[in-house]
Amino acid sequence: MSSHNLSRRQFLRLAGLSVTATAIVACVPPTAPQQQAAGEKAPVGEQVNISFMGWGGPGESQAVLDMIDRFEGENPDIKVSWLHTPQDYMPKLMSMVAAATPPDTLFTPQDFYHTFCRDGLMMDIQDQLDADPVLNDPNYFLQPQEDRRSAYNGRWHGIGVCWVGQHMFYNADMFVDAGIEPPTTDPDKAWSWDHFLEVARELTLDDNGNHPYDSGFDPDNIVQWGVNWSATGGHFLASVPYMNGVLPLNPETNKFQYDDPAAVDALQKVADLTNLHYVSPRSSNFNDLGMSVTQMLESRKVAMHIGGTYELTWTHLIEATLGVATPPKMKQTGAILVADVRGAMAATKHPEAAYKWVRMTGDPVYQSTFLKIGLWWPNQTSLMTPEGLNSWIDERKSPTEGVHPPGYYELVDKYVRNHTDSWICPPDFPEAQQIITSSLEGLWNGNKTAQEAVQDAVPAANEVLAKGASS
Amino acid sequence: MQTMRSLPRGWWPRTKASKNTVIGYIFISPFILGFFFWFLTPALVSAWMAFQDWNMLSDPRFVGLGNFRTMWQNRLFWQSLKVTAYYTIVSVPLGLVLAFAVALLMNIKVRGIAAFRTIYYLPVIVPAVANAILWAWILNTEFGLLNVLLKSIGLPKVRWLVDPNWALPALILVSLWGIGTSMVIYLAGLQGIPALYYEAADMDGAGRWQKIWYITIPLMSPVIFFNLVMGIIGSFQVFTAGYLITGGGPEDATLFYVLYLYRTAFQYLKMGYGAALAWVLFAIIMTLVLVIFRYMGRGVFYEGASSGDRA
Repeated sequence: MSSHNLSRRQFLRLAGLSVTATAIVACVPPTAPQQQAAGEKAPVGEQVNISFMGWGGPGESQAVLDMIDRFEGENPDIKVSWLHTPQDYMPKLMSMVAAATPPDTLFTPQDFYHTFCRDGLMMDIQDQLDADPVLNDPNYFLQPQEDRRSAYNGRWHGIGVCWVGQHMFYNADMFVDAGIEPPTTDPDKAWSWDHFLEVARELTLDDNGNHPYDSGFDPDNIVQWGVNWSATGGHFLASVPYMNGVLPLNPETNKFQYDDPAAVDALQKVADLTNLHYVSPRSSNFNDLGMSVTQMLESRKVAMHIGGTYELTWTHLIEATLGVATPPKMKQTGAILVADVRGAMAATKHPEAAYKWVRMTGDPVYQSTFLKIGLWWPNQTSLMTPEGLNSWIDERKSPTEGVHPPGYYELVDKYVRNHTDSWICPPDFPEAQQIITSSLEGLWNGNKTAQEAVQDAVPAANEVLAKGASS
Repeated sequence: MQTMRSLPRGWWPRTKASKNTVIGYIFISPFILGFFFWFLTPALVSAWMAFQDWNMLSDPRFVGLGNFRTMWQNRLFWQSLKVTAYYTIVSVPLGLVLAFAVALLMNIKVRGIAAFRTIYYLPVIVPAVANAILWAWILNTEFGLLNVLLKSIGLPKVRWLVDPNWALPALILVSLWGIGTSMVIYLAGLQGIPALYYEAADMDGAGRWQKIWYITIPLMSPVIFFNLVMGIIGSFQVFTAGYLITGGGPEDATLFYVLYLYRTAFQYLKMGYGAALAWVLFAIIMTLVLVIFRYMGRGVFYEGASSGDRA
């Protein structure tokens, strides 16, 4: 053991020690993270780095990066890093928050926004907005929709980024071939429910060419549906009672109103499209196969589709003549509008820089980028004036030319402006909403009537909201 | 026993026995430290969390047994327990029997049997999301392969993932294609049975069924027992199928316990209640396993064990 060469035993000993030492160094966790007080701010004037977290497809992501370039050009002392999170947004966000490393600014889903505000997560920007020469105009944004969304206890903690909601898409060629007058984008001329049902029946065929009103109709072998209307959740579900004159949630009482007789009637009407009249496919059919709206309309599986604004971004590429229209009316036609709120987290170390970036959201140039590609409807009134509308509407002339089908101007000018309301999501909304959507699955699957589906679920959901408001 | 050289460092032990002990500890320290920091400490924190009301965003608030009381009164808690228990009671025995049968088949010495063993094992390594998409398509009511098959032999189509009565059986069906792991373990056990037992049975004129019943199964009882216990532990924690294929529906018919826990903790941000749910699950599984060990453990025959006792 006195030789200078390493004996095997010594070598093993050294190796074991060094591996263990490395492992120990790697295994010891960093000092436990403490919630940083918002009072610790970086000194003004130095280079500031803020992060911006959000979802979206590649097109939206690229548009965000373009806006960041523009912003950094105008604000050389601020650098914005884009944390693109197309999947699992909420779990990732919550992990960052729990680890005390939240993003500085972020997309906040509308159904969580008020929960975050209640828990002090969002930065109050009311004072900055009041001092802003452009944004302090009470009619800068579409009202009363915007206050309902962005204000929590009367104070804004973020800026709504846009609006999206439901309307009708249809394959115009199918209407021409069937000799039927297609629907229009004029809400005053919206189809009555009966007329809509009649048209849908006319455009529904089984594999023998029978319509639902023919005696030999086989509901198990439908090859073409008149309409695709899936109202299982989100703003689609919220719009159903709204079309019969009832808000899905009453902001004064903080209670769901799906058990109101008019709401029950509306839900039953939509469910009957699938289960009674066979004019609409079961939503599970196409979702499970991953068939998109584009494919459904293009392959003539469906003549009309109740879809969201954003679907235009890809639907405008279909190899067919695309039409848009208002949905049919029950008592009225309409949509419950929704979109995320862009805000800063209260824990940010750079509140001024964060506010500046968030304020960009209220900038017409930012909004126009996404309006042009058919992703959004505006929430800024300056983009809804005649000049405003003409600045971003790009009329679709063919699958490769233009985005917005004919009549889109009227859709935004009349339908969005006058026939919509905001999705109201008080604290603890996601949990309460889940109770209702789970129970309504029975309705959409034809196992329950609308009345049965709502009668226990709505009180249970309201209990959750009541607890959420007080905690 | 002193070594020849005097060692400079004071902490390094002098006797060979204690040196070996210290070196031993150093070698196992990575695992011990990992266990301590990533398992034990979080588990203890979670036990503390079970008595708090905490949503990760504000400060935690002590509520004592409040979370457990909420659990007791919550309809979804009992629903998820019911769903998970049903799933376990059906899928575990089915899986055990099916895996055993397949292992018996895979033990037959024919040419190319290795290829079959691989094929039967492959579903286990399919990623969870791909698995979910695939099965959602197969089980689709209108266009799915399973209903097409049923139709071709004249049976009515089943609304697999849409009917609350069929959704859970559908997921049990999905779980059965993952028997590869148990099958491989059974196979290893089967190959450990000495051929002389079978030869002796042949000489006594035993048929194939008798050989299986009187030789194979008793000698395989440790493996069966192992798979039973692992199966129960695993199926009580089923999550991905419910999360990815049905989302807990329709109408909460496939709301597995862990899915309910995940939603409560990570979507509704009720971390304290979620922690309480997790500990209740631990208690349930622990109790079940102890019961199984006590009542069925006796029937397991360990070849070579001196106290082995066959019931």
